Amino acid sequence: MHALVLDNVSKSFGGIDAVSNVDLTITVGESRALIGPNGAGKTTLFNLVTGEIPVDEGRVLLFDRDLTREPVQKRIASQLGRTYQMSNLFDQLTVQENLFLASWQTRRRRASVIATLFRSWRRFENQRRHIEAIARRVGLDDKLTVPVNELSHGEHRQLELGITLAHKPRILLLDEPMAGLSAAERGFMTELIMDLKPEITVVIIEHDIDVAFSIGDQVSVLDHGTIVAEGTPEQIVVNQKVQEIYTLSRQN
Amino acid sequence: MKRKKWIVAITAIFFFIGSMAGTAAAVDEIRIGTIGPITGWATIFGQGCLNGIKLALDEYNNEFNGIPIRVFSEDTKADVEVMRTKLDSLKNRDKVHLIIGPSLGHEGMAAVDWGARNPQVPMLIGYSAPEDITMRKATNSVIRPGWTGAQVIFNFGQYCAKELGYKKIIIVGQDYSYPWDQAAGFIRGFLENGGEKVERIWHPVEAVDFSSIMAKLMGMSREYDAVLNNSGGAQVVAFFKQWKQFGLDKVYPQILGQANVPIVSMLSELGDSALGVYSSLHYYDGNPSQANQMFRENFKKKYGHYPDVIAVQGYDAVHVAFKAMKAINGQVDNPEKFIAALRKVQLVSPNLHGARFISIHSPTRYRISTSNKWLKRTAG
Amino acid sequence: MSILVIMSMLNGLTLAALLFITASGLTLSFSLMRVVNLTHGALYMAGGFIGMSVVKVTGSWLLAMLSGGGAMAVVALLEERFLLRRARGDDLRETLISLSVAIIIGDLVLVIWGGYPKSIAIPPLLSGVWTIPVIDMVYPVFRIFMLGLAIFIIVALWLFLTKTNLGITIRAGVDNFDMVSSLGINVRRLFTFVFGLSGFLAGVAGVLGGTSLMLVVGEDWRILTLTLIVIIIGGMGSLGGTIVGALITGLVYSFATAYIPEFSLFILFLPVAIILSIRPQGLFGTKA
Repeated sequence: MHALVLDNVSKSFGGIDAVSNVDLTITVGESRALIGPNGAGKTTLFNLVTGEIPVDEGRVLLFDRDLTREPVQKRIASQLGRTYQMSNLFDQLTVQENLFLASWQTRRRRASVIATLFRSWRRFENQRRHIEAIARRVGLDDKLTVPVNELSHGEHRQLELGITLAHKPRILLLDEPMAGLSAAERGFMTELIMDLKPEITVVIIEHDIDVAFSIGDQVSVLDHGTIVAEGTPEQIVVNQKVQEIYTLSRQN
Repeated sequence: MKRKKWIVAITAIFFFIGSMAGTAAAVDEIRIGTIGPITGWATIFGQGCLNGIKLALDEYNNEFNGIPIRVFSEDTKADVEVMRTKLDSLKNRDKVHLIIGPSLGHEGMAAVDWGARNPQVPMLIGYSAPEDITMRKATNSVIRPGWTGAQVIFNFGQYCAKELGYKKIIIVGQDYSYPWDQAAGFIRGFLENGGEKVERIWHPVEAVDFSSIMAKLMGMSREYDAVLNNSGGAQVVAFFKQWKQFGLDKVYPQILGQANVPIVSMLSELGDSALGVYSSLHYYDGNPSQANQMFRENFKKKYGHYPDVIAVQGYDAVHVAFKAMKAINGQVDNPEKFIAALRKVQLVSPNLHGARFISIHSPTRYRISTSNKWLKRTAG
Repeated sequence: MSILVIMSMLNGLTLAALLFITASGLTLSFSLMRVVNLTHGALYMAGGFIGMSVVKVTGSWLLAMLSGGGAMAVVALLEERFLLRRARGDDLRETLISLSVAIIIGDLVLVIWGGYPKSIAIPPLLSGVWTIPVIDMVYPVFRIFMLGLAIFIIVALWLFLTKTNLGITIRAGVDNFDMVSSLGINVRRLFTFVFGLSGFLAGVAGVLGGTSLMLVVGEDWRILTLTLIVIIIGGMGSLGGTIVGALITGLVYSFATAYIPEFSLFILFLPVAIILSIRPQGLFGTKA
């Protein structure tokens, strides 16, 4: 089974091709790193997958279901999770409240949601355990009642990862989860992500080539909206085209 | 070129015919504009007057000698600026032959100024009571078929000093011209007849909460004999409500009210809190005359509640207008004639006990036989 | 003199209670939807009039309060569902819609109940005065009740917002409104609910105000002005700010009326002008 299939997907903004004719196949349990210079179209590709931007052409399949015309909510319900480059947390709320909000929606059936509106999630044993488990998983179990605006930058990133996990996703899109982190924090975060394998399929955009290669079993290289190379980290390192792109972008 | 001339000629003819029609035939309808606050804290004053006007017009079947009467009602929202605009539109848009209104003190003062600049529009003052409307600011086209505020409160000051024997009184009132007049009239009558001291508390016209004033009155009770509420409309309801809430009815032996306080439409809302209030007014709804009783019942039938002095004032104004129209045979499109006729009207109001209307510059005179007609003790 | 100080303090606190109940609804709907709901004053007034009629018919003041609030909740729900929702995101249109609805409600009230001032009788249980033992001072029971009710509402709102699932969602929406929808929460339904709650609080406040003060057409704008003062001082969208704003407004009004009644409006608007110029987001508001 394939976790994610992009079939000849294209998107242009005002005549400029952001993504053109991309084919991408990711099998269940795999971790894939997306690399490429700035403006290569990596984040756009994520937005096409989640449905935040509609595709011009082509199809998007998640777990072999065609979701090209479905809205974001439907795709999230299909066990897709993502993090953003920008912080995506409720600053005034506590860690556990943030995690609750993210997880609350996963098992929503209308009647049961309405019944719980005026009660506290803490009264529901399984819900509380779920949230505590996630917090433990991202290393925040001792900060459950701390408001987000009092967390460190690294903890923000950990919580963001936790929030995407709260949906119980089977595939996770991570957009530069290491941005702005110290070396130590990077190491910790890399470990957290590695621990997700293999039950969760991971697609990660990462600038740090070392991180990308240590997380990704497979690496896809994007440039000017097209995939120029694909393979294991070892294959990519020696790929002529990739070397050219990176030399060029460095010179620029 | 020829064609253009034809058009000019035809247009001219039409205009000519049009103007002929205007002068030759009598008016095909009589347009009366009314003005006063129909919304806001002072609704009582505008709506009451309008109700009286409409009741009187009903008595005439809304026509004069077969000419239908059309009423144009405008709302001032108790705002003078709004009133000026509305007066202009009554004059220019609706081309009214007569304006009846305004009903508030400051409206009346502004209306005289407007009247001085628009001498072609006769205006009968509604319930508005400042003396200056027909004294220092008097103008030919503005005629008062009603009362002045100081008239009735002056005697009340006298009564409080002489009959009730009070020496020190607190006046609490809204901070604008009508209550100032009332206070002035009262103070003069009170101090000239043995009163010693009058403390005045002024609050914004649209005060929200009187609790602080109640607190103050509570503290002053040791020195002062009684409190005179000098507000109008909704503010009276709020004042009395809190008077009772704070238990001041047990602190002061007597609550007094300026002329507007115990008007009938208010009493139902004041409820028990108005029990025993003393006030003075030129209209006494218990007046046993048959005319007054009929007026009251007809009013109740039409509006569901009994009339008050404000309605009487609107009601009387219409009768004054009809007397004048009779005198000039319905030529209301001639404002000079109409105004002159309005000024000559003498009317014995069916409701005011033995009162009569004399349209001269000085305030209307009411002939009152005994002073107890001025005073009434409200019994709930 | 000290009695006057204590009295003014109590008056300020109890007026603040009424102001808080009115303003809390407005601040809730504002903080979530970023639209100043100018209908709020009209909801206050119409709620009061409905309460008055209910008291006249049933004699039950409690029922009056609930039905005044309930009816206004329904009106607010309908306004949000059928009018405001269509203009979502367009501030000017939303404000103008809320203004139109306010004027329509004001006119309907005028047609139904007329322009004469009215008031709601204080229920026997809450009427009369209470003698404060030590200083031997009397104070109206109903005003104490208003204060108690306001404290109750503060606690209830606080519990609701921090402890319940819906409350957490609302706070999340206040914090970052776009993101709540990306969580898969139906934001539109959330808006409608909060609008309804806001209407309910306005209606309840109207019945309280009608009972302790009075009701008259035109009261809608007066109350809206005071409510806006509270919110400007306290800061839009902050419950704590609304409490502080109400306290400042109530106490300033009360002391000003007690000591210099002629200048009470001037003194009331002074903090508004100062805060708007120095700290436009209000004492507790966050910068937009």
